[in-house]
Amino acid sequence: MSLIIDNLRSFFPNMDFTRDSTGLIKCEVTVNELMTIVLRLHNELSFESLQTISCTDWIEENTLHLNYILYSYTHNETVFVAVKIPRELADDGSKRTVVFIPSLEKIWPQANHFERELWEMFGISVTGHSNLKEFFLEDWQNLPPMRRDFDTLDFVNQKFDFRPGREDNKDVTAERKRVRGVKAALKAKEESNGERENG
Amino acid sequence: MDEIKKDIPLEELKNIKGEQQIVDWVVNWFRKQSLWVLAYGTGCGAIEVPPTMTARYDAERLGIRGAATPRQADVLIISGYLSYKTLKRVIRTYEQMQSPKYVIGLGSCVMNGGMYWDSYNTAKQLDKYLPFDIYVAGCMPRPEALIDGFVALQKQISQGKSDGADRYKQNIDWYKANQREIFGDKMLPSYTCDWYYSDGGLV
Repeated sequence: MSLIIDNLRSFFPNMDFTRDSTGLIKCEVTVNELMTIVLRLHNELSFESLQTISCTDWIEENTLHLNYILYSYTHNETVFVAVKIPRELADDGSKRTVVFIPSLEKIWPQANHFERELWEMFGISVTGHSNLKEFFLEDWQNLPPMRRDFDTLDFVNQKFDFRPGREDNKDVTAERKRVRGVKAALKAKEESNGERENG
Repeated sequence: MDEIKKDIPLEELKNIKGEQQIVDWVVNWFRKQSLWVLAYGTGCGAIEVPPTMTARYDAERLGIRGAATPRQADVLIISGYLSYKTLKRVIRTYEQMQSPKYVIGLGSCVMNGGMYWDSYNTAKQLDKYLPFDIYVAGCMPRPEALIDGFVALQKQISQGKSDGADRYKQNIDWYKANQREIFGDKMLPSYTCDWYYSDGGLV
């Protein structure tokens, strides 16, 4: 194995680091460990950059799968730190999850925006965040729209009108041929009339 | 001649056929020769408009060029899908433009939502909120199609058929009712459109 993996293993002896075929290093932590591990990766192993926080909604397994993607300019390596949290919403009508994730704003300032988006689009509760308010949406009352139990089609049918389409639903090519035939017949008729007048 | 004309009231002046028609024709001819497009892009169409303006397709040979602000522009291109959040800004932009003003819809999203027909935030029927003069079909239309749309708009202008601004003024209550239905209590402020009402009243 490579140098960075050995380094990581010496720093975190209880954790399982794997490298997949594309060269990404992956590990999985719990929510309570997250802050400690990410802080040590940043400070002691010089993972300077938080690229993004991705989120996947696995409705079948009832989990939200968060990936903290860290990149190190020193080692030219990428680490995916995965966190799985249950996707249950709290009962207080806020439409946010029961489990809170810690904000990484103090380590990387750009985490502010990433977490604001997760809070708005997936309904993930964030603790320790300085500016938690609506980000992309305006005046949104429903479920967070990126969750998979939010039915977009149902929402659209309730809220918006569609442009009425053609009622007959004919095959357009056949219809076009018919119209062309009628036009050609008219033209031929006109020409024949003209010939008679001229004759 | 001029002194005689001053005494005639405006309604009768509009009914004068010969001279007035010539004046209209000349004014329309000048209008169609210089269309200033507001540099405002929504969605994918914002990527198709710059090639239209630059060296390869060079829309400036047809008198089409960019304008920096709504006050200087004649044409507003709704280029591609439009979310309801952006629609609020577009309506304000449109109301700031000076008449005569024309709206071109670019792409199929403008007509019926296109490939985002089931999206929770894309406007489906845009002509409920804004008066359109020309639609350009496609997903996305190439710059040739956009220039073809401009040529069709110029033909409309020279025939005096482009009446988008008049339609908006005459049906302002209907447009505003549709907008209020979507925006609810986050409706645009009334001072953006109160000059459309003859009495200057509030919406």
